[in-house]
Amino acid sequence: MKAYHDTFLRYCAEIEAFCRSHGWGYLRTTTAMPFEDLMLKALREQGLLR
Amino acid sequence: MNLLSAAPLWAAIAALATVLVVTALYLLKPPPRRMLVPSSLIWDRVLRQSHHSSDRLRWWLSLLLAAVIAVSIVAAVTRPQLTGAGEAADRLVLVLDNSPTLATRTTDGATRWSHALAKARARIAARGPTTQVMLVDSMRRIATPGFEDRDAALERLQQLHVAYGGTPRVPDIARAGEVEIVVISDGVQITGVPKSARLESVFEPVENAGITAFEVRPLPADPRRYQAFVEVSNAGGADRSIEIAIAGVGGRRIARTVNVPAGGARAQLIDVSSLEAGPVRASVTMPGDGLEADDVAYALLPMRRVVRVGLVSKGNPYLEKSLRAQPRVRLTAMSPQRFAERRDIDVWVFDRFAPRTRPGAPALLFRPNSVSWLPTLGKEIADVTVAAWDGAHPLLENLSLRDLLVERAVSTRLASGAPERDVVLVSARGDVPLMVAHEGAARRVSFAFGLEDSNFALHAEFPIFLGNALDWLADEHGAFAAGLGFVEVPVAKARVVAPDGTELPAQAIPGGTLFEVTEPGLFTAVSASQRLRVAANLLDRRVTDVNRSPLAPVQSAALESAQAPLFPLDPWAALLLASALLLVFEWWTWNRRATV
Repeated sequence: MKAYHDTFLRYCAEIEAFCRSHGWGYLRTTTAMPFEDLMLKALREQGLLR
Repeated sequence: MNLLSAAPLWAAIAALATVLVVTALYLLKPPPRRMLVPSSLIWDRVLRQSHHSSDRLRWWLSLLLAAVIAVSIVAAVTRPQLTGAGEAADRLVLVLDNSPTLATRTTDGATRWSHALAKARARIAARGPTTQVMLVDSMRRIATPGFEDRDAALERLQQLHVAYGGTPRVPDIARAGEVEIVVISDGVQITGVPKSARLESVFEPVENAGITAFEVRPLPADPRRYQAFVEVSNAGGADRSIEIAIAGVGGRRIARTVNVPAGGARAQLIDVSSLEAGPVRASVTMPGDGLEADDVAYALLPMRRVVRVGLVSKGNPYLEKSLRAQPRVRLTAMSPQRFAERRDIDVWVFDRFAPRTRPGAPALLFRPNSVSWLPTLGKEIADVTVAAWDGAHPLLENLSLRDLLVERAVSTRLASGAPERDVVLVSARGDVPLMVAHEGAARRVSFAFGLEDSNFALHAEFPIFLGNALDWLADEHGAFAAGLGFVEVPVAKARVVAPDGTELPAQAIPGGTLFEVTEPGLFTAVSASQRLRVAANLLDRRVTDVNRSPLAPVQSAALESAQAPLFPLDPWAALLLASALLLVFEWWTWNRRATV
């Protein structure tokens, strides 16, 4: 399980690094959070919404 | 032989089978467990990145550990009798010195013998399982030594004990053949140690005092009085003050203290006339004494009663006056014609006469006539010169026959049927018996010459001889003196009773009885017709001198540590313990994911 956990974190870091290198935003969440809530939270954090 | 022990082949088969079973269990792969996961993307990466070689190594390590544990348990249970490298059926001759000085106490409270036994056990245990051991003892109590396995040798070792009597030596059997010979001894008495043998010492010097001579005897000038001759030896390295005590019947005790120089001896004459007749026990006391067997000695104080003597003679004033002058004689004189067997006579004295039938009481005879119960008489010889006499015999004690002149004597032919009972005490040239003592139910002393045919009656020693003769013929004459060890007494088919009333194992031998004595005491040999008291004492200066050893002294504490095994556990128990430790180790490595 530790190997799985480590591999999973490495995989997420790879994706984040790829996004950053292309100027894309990167946001990590779980499927437990509703998509609308996620988007609204992200837009608010970026100052696009109040 | 251990019942659990198995042949090496079967043990190997059992171990191999166990390893195969363990390996098979490791090879068994349980069916994979199915689980539903949202994505196999990460699992694929995990599997790709995992190190296959490390897993294989862990699997092998785990298998190796399990196999070692399993084989250890199998070996501990089956206990195979394996042969080590270079130990192919080697042979060991182990010679134990069980001479009397091995009973000496050591400073640690044990004895040289117990140290010798421990050394022997350690030597046997240190050998390979297939070693053949021949156990030999210096006192030859093991009658037929032979090579045997270790367990049998250890069992035989338990039956050995310190023995007395004879000269301790390494038997010739221990010298034959190309075998390793180990002799365990204190080096005091043992002889015949082969040069090829390894001598292991259990010698430790100690203080010791012992009685080396003890005798109770009548005063020559007054047979009614008795004195004890006691010699005490000091084997220690310093002058010591030693108490000598002589105890008699009823608890009466005479004690005195003597100073004995280091390595020396002191003799004492002690008047014991005040003691009651019966057993007399001499003892020495000294703090730190090393050997017990020489601390006591026994003797018998004879009865001193009136002796009723019957003199049968045609008239012999010298003999009659000498007998009447004896302090405890009640004399009855008669002529041969008036002789008749009487129950009130303790000793008969026959002068130139012998009855047709053997009298019931002991007899002293001077030139008897020819009768069937006496040795056959031959021709008369003249101008007889005494050639030899036995001064050690009680009859001739304190006597010299150098000036004895005999004008006429008669030659005597001893009966060939029972020569062991007739002892020639005085003989003339040509081995002609002049005086013969007969041991038996009724003792007798027979002279081949008459008193008037010699100057014997005129000798100053003649009354002493009569006193000796009456003592020997009438009394329970002291005790039969014997050493410790095997004792042979001239009483046929006798029971032997110890001082505490127990009966000793005894063996009938031609003309006597044989039994073994392991400690000093006053024993009684009883047969249908005879009763003999036996004073068995050590009385041996070579034994009392327990420090006269050429070997270097060894401290008993050092002996103890040298004999202690380095590892107190049985090897197979140790293997079982190692298995348990390996199991713990395996559990720890599994928890650490070092094994699978």
